[in-house]
Amino acid sequence: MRKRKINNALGLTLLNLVFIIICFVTLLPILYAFLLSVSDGSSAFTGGFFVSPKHFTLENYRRILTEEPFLIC
Amino acid sequence: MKNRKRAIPWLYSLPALMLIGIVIVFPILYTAYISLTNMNLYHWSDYSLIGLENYKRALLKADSGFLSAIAVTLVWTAVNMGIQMVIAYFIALGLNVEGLKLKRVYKTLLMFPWAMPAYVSILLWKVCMYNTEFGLLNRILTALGLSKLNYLSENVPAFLACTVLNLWMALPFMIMMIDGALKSIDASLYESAMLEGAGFWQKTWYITLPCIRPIIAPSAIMTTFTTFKQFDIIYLLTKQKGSLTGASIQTIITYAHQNAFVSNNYGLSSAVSILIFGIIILFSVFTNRGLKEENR
Repeated sequence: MRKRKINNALGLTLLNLVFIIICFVTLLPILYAFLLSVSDGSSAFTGGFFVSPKHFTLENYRRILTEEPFLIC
Repeated sequence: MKNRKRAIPWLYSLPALMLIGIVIVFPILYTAYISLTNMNLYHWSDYSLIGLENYKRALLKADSGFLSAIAVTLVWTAVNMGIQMVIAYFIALGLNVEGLKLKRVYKTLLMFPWAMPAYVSILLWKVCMYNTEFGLLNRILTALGLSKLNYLSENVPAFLACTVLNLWMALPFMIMMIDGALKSIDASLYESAMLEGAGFWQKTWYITLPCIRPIIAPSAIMTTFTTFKQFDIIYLLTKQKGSLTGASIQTIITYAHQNAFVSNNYGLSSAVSILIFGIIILFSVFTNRGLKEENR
């Protein structure tokens, strides 16, 4: 009985892991677009996947809200 | 009096009928008319009737590209539907496992691609994933020390890229449908099957599939139609005006579009459109009859 319980828990953990991977892969393009949106222009062209704190910037958001005709046309 | 009674419903529905006539019936008839003329770049306004020449060119000349476009479309639909049904079925099964506490979270996350406008998600994939210089896929490859690939420049890789994107966009709907269907199965069926000692595949084959079929069939047919007439993905990924990528896969819809708006051969394009129209009508009559027999 106890062995069965352990087996069950193991199966559920595995399933959770599979689902987390599936969700991550599914959201990868959106995540990547988000990461690009908070990094400055140069880091989009040079290698490396993730935004290092050095390149983190909200400049793009400031520009789209104030300079581009996005909020008010 | 009797005549009047008969006329009044027609009078009431006249505005709607007129609207349908202008918006739906007239364009179809006009397309059918153009398909019998030689309207093209050389004959903008002085076109004349040439009979079934356009149909002959589309169907009988092998180099017109229409037949290969049909073949590509059929392969595209079959591949997409097959992969989609299998993957969606297994993901939905996983979502229905008892004791999975986070299933709502997973469901919400998996719904994301479906909630995005198609145009946005296609261009997102084109720029963020498949782009040769700063697409994510090529970044991963360079990080692993491999050489960069050009996904959209040749036919087979471009076809696979379009398939992956279509799966990404269409899977959430299918998962939700199958998930809902699985929820509607009576649990006692499984209990008695377990008492009889049935294995996983036997349960799948004899209980799950027959039970979910009536619910899955309409959504599968709907998805087949949308896959069959898929235009956005192939057009925006590979042959958007101004950013052609080099792949030349043509489904019948992009074929009709290219003939009408790129090479300005309206006659041929209208003939192709009418043929597609016929194919879809035939297909829908066929599937409607199949469904009706199943319900009996």
